Amino acid sequence: MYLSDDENELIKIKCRYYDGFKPMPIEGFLIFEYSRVRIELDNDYNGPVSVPLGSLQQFTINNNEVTLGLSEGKPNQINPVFKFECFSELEILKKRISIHSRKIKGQSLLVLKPLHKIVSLLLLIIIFAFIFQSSLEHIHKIISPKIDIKIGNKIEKSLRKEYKILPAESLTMFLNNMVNKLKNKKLKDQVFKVSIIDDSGINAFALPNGSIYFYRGLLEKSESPEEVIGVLAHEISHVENRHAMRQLIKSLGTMSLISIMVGGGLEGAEFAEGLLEISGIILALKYSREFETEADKFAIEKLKRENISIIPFAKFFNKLNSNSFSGNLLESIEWLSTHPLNQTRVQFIENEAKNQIGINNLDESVSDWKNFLFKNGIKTKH
Amino acid sequence: MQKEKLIFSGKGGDLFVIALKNILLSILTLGIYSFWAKVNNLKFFYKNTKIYKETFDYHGTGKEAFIGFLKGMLIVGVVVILFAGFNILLTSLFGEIGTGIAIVFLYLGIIAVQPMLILGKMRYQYGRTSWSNIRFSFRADSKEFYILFIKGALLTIITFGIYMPWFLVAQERFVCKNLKIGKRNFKFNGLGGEYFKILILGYLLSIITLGIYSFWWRASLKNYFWKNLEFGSIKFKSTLTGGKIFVNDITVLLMIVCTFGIAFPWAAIKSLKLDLDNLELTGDPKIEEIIGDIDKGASAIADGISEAADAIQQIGDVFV
Repeated sequence: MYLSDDENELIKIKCRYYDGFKPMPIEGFLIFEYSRVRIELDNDYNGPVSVPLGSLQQFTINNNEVTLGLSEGKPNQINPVFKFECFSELEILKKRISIHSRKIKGQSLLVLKPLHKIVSLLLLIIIFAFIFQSSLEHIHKIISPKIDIKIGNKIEKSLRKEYKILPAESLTMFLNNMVNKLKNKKLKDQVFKVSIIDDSGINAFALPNGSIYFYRGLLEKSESPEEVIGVLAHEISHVENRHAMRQLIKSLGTMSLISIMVGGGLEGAEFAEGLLEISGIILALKYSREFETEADKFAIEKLKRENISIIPFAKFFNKLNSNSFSGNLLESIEWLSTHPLNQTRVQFIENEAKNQIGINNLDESVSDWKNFLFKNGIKTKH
Repeated sequence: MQKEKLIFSGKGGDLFVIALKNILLSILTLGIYSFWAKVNNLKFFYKNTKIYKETFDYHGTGKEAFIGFLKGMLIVGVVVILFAGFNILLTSLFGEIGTGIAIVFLYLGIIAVQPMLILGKMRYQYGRTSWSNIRFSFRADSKEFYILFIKGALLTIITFGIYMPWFLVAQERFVCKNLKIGKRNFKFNGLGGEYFKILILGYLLSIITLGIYSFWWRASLKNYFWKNLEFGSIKFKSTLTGGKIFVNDITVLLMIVCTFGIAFPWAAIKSLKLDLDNLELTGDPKIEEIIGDIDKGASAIADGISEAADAIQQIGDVFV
């Protein structure tokens, strides 16, 4: 901001002097010359009577009240200050002081109107939060996949204690063979292993070490091997794209961003903190939906590559979504909580299914799926 | 009789700008700026509060708080490493019982340093606060506080909590006795018996009224505190009512929810003003008799240790 300043003009302002020992201030005047300030106080004052502006150590403005400090202002020392109300002369004073005092320069040069400050600060916060969030997407690249495997092994250890695994030999072998067909051959170090949990829940999940678990309940509800293979391809994609690690990084990153923001500006406000935490949880849910969609996309590519029909996979999803196949709401909810479905996802898979040409028949041994499952100790329920 | 009120003249818009700046710089510095942010907030509230024509001020700096935190981090870090070694040693000697003993020692240690930390934090915070550029100070005898603390805690346990009100009042007396502006101290005249009645009545009525009475309970607790506080010949009187608190809380809640938190600064100021508007000071303040004083020994280290312990606990929470 440019201000015309007559260098010879004296600015005389009524002031109060607080020495830090007597609570009643001493009254008097500050006379600002171009590069010095003269101090004229009533009595009892034994400080300097003229000071170069360059040696001022403190210059703060609050509601048009200026506080001026001559000493450096260590926090555990008493620092005498001058205070004065200043209106029309404020801008010229700011300019003179910022020209002469290097220390005060930074704080008074940024003369912005409050509204401009708010808008520019808000914009900056949004930009930095955005950069922070998007950089979270890439952090997993510098973390070794070995750590994914370690985490997966740890989870698997405690999981194995809790769940009973079905032997289902030929079924497990069939699924493991399918993994070898479907997996990304470029990822040579990635090992997979499929197991079946003896539980009636309708679910399947993959651990970051490549172990894929199907619940017995999911197999019981399946009508064809292609349905199960679709789910398998989806779980393989989760592992190959390191969704577990990426989810972990994103959740931790979002949480720490929120705690930094709360710690920085709004401390002591438990209510606001609560609101921010809720928004963090919603953000975390959005991530997992994003990863589910990505896993669908890769699963379909895999199925197409191996010429395996997508239609059953689409049908299976649709059944889950409409909850028609079992009439049991609770069972569907269990699947939905970990695999959030929505119409766009179903629509996407259905469209892909329509466009598919030429379908490869699977191995003879699974042509009678119901019977094949039965031999593996699983009775279908449809 | 001379009457006086505390006047707060800060504007929500200014606090909003401060909050935005705090948030932005805290993000950019990965949280380090939060020490400066805290100072910015305190300065805003103090500088805009006036009584007897003069304002309060806060003189602490983010730099000293941050250095205090780093020193605290070092101390807590050494303690954590020592504890880990101690734990391994005891566990290897006595198995699981050894781990138990180590944990008991850790908790005893934490309880033992707690009063020191509380006193150190208060000494620092008050030592950096001023009115009319006259510093507050809080220089307390830690031996006296330990005796008060141990006696109070033991009697509270033995009497199944009945002694609690007497314990709290004794703490308040101790704090006020040692809290000074310049060389003049505060005084708290509350009595355990009276405080007990307020607590019991509030507790029972809150249960009967399904929590609605809690607003009136809060009002009577605040009013009781002010009624019994003295500063020289100045006496305080708070005229808060449950109804006022209730209306304020509902308004503030609506303000925050309806604006998705943006109105937070205005809400914080509104709540502060409720307390100040209902507070009245009477008596001849004899301001000219107050003599300034400075506590050079007040340091940010206790504050830093507490902050460091919190930080380490938060990091621990992520991994547990």
